[in-house]
Amino acid sequence: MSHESPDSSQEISVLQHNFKLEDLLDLESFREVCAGYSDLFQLGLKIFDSSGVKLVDIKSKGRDLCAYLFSFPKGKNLCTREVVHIRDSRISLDGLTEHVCFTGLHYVLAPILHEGVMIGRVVFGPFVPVGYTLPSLPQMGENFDSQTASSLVERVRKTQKQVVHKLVRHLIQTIEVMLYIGYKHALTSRMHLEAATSSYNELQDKNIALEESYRRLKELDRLKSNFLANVSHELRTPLTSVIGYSEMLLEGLAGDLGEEQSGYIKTIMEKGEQLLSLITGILDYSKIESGNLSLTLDWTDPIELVKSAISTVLPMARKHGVRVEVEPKDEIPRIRVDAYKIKQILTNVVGNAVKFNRKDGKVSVRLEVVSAPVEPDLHQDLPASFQRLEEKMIMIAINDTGVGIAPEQQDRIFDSFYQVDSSSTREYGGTGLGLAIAKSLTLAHGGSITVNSNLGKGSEFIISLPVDRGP
Amino acid sequence: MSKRILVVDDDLDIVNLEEKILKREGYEVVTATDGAQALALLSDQDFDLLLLDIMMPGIDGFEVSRTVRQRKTNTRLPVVFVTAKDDAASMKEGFRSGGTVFLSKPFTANQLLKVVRSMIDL
Repeated sequence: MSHESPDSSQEISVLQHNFKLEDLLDLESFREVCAGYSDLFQLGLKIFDSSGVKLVDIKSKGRDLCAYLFSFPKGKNLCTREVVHIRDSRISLDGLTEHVCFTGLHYVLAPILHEGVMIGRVVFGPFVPVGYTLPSLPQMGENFDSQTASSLVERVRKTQKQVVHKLVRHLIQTIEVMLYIGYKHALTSRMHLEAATSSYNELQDKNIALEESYRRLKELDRLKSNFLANVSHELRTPLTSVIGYSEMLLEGLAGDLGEEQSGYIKTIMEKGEQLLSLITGILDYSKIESGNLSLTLDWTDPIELVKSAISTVLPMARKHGVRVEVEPKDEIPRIRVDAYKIKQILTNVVGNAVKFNRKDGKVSVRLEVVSAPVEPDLHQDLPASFQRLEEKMIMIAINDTGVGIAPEQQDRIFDSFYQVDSSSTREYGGTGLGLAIAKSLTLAHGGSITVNSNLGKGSEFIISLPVDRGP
Repeated sequence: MSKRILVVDDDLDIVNLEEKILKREGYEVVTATDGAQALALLSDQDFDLLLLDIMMPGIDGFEVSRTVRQRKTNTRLPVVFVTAKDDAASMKEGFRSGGTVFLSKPFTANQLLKVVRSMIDL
């Protein structure tokens, strides 16, 4: 347990704990037992705990004398001294101790032991042993009536010492049994308590640790967002000059350029732009990864989105001599999506279809309305009549006549920074993040993106989007 | 009379780039490389447009914009934030501080001119 407790007693095991008499006994039933003994033998009985607290006090008739003497100042003094002696004096731990008070009345004292430690004492009395002659009582004061006193002395129990001794031993045995039971109970409840306290402390420790990690995670998340924003800023600022000045040179603002010179400048500009799209891609991807992506959903015509994506890649398609066609197969309904993000997906996939196509190849984009069961896993065990929970999806299939993708590569192309082979980065350009971003964005819309491909013949990317993904 | 544009950026290369692109189109360009300089110029002279970087040491672009908006004299001056700091939070603060439009860095000559024309002919 790592929990630092200010109270070191909490660290002590139950076994080392010192029990007090009242911890181990049910006082109510203990008093009943004592009252029974006292009644049976007509003897007074007091029980003190180890700190002198009187737990049991059963008076007998013999005590009437004490009460009478106590009513005189002198008697009060003497009696008190006797009581203090009975309560606090050292007594033998392995036997009985007799005490005779100033009146000649007898008491028998016995220790209550637990694990060898005295945790209380039993005081039986007063009594007058058979055959014992009491001394005459001292004069207490003016109104002291020795006749009354003598009659009170008569009421004190007369019995044999051995009988009282036996009785005390017997009571001690009874108490020991009660202590044993009580100890077991006390031990069990202490252990329960200790176990509960320890679990509670452990839980407390874990909570504190959890809160701390949560706080640190939040801080890290904030730092990460800050870091990304700063990286973006720091990288794009110098790129402004790289791209801007290259553009000016190319436009001949610093004088005419030779063919070789403008070729070099073009390369600088192109690479600058490539770097920019990489930075933008990383930033987009980080936003998606950290869950900071928010969609702005609006009802949109998917055909318009496809056409707009195609127009973005058209210059590249012309350069590659690739034809791009759209085939809306059905009546296509409007869909509720983040138009900007869907266009980003389509631009990427259609762009790939152009980029990885053969010269004079073809890219066709087909749109269809399909029905897909809602949560198929949930319904497969239901009878057929219940399996009608379907939702309308828009399927956009992008076919190319390009190099194709080998089966073992098909799963991995949606991983970040994966390209079929690293040389394709040089050959085809791009960041290696496009499809990973496209996948995250389709998933965020409740849709999916998959690929079918024949090596050498071409690939088909299928993007499915629900008509309305809901809130 | 040609329109006067104040270009503010702590990156001298970018100031020069914007200046060259704009001068070529016949605009009159005044430049500043920090917020304090910009505010001094803005209190002395009249401009038709302010091209303002955000991340500058000392007085940043947001503060320049806010100060300009508080002055009664040039409340109608269009403020274009030309910045690489175009995340959602920065854009929000930009518009709140009185910016009219954002132009992301890096920009092409055409993009810059398109924004400038649309703001000046407003």
